[in-house]
Amino acid sequence: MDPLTRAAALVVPPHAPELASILHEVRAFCRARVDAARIDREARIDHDLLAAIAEQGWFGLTVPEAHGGIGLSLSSATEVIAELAAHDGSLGTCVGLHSGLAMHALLHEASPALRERYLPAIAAGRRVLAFAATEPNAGSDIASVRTTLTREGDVYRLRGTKCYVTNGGIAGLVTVLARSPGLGGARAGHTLVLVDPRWPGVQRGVEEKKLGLKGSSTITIDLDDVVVPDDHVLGSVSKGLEHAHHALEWGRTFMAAGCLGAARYAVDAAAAHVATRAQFGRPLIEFPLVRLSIAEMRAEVRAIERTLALVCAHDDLAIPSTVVKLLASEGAFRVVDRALQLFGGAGFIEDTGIARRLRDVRVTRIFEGANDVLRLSLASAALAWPIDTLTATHPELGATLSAVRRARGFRMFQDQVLQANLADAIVALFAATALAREEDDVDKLARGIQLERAREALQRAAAPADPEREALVARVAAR
Amino acid sequence: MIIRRLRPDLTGKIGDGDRLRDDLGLDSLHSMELFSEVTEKYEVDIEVEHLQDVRTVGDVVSFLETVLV
Repeated sequence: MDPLTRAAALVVPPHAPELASILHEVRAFCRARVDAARIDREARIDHDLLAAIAEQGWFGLTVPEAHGGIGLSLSSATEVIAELAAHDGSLGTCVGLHSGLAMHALLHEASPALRERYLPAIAAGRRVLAFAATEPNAGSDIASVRTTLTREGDVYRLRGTKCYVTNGGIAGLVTVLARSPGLGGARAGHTLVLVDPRWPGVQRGVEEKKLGLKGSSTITIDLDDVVVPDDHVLGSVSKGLEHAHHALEWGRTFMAAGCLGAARYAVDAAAAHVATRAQFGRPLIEFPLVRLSIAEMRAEVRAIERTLALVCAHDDLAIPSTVVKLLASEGAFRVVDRALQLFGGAGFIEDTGIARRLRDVRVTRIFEGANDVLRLSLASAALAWPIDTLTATHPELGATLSAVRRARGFRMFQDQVLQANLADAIVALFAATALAREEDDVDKLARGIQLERAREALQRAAAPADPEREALVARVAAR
Repeated sequence: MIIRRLRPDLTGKIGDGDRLRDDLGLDSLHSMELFSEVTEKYEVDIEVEHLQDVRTVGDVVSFLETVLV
């Protein structure tokens, strides 16, 4: 069955009863303790604030109760991250990455002994987690990492450099992806290992100066002949890339939650502003263009909410996590940008907080899979989907995909623009599926917008190739 | 030739028994690009469903032999 049909058949379960009280606590805590402007200005999250969050137990959102955590489901944990991110993007990123991308392999691949050893300290916030995959020459092409794990005598040794490691400066444990040529019988295999930054040979670099998310730690980590004990291999030797992809699926889902928090904040702030700000003798909300903007922003936020909830109901997150990452990161940037526009000149001034939000949310279209590369992956997967079931639920997509296959076959992989358009259609159709029940007017507007986007993307995908224009583009790009 | 262009960091000889993912480090995007270029070069059409069992370089060669016949 294709992922869109599967999504349509899924029922989103209700949240755990305790979620409401956790969200209430997070909201009250953040209002009292989190100064987002200060975090941005000082480019760090104060140690006392991290300690207070640890005290609340929120570093244990996804850690099972048996290991001292709260043991929330993916659905509930991402709601908590959205709430944290609504107050501050850096904080949402720190706790979200710890709970998602960096936690996944420990929960799902580590030996029981390793989980027993580390999870209680992780849940208590005594060891914050980081995930190190990116390298100076290996970003979206994650399989090309040069950091190498070798077997020398009876130990593993790790050598290489990892960059842009989120939480790196405060991490008590780092999951590292390394190539492991020859190990586990795979000539080009990869392996995930758990590294304690205090081990000999681990050298942390200085904090990067970033456009946004300034309070979140981002550093380079050098690994110089680091001895890794056998029991710190996560999962199977040589299967690290597979494990890393599963971790990234969780990571993208948590990242979408962070985007949702930022977008919710922006639409609430903009709605409050246009209700009180008057120009030409009327509050801004009385102008039709402003009303349209606010309504579409609310619809965009709702689409992210419903899609995230549906994604969290899946067992296999490969396609759904890519969909929600694309939808949420592109949507949140649009919403925050529109909020800034509604604030007028004040939006460009740091004190209103919208400028910081725009800076914070920008990177979400880049990290944990650059959106353009994710579009190509999504379109690649779509080529293998069974056309008959797809056509039954999404006739226009089925017809377009079928026509593309007939006309181009595998040659479609040489047309990245076509793939991007197909991917955009899939994302919009997935979101429309999540909104299908149309429980209120916001759902109705949101679904209409997503279906319109899908139709436009499919029209672009189905359009015949235009060699003259492609040649023009190539000439202009080459100037 | 195509594999070496997709994976320029790959050293050593490429043999029939090499697995596309585990031995040559080709991820799903690389594999799609590989088949895209193969279809272009040999002017054949491939149904993606027929590629489920293609895991090694030898599988690619055998598959192409079948299609070209």
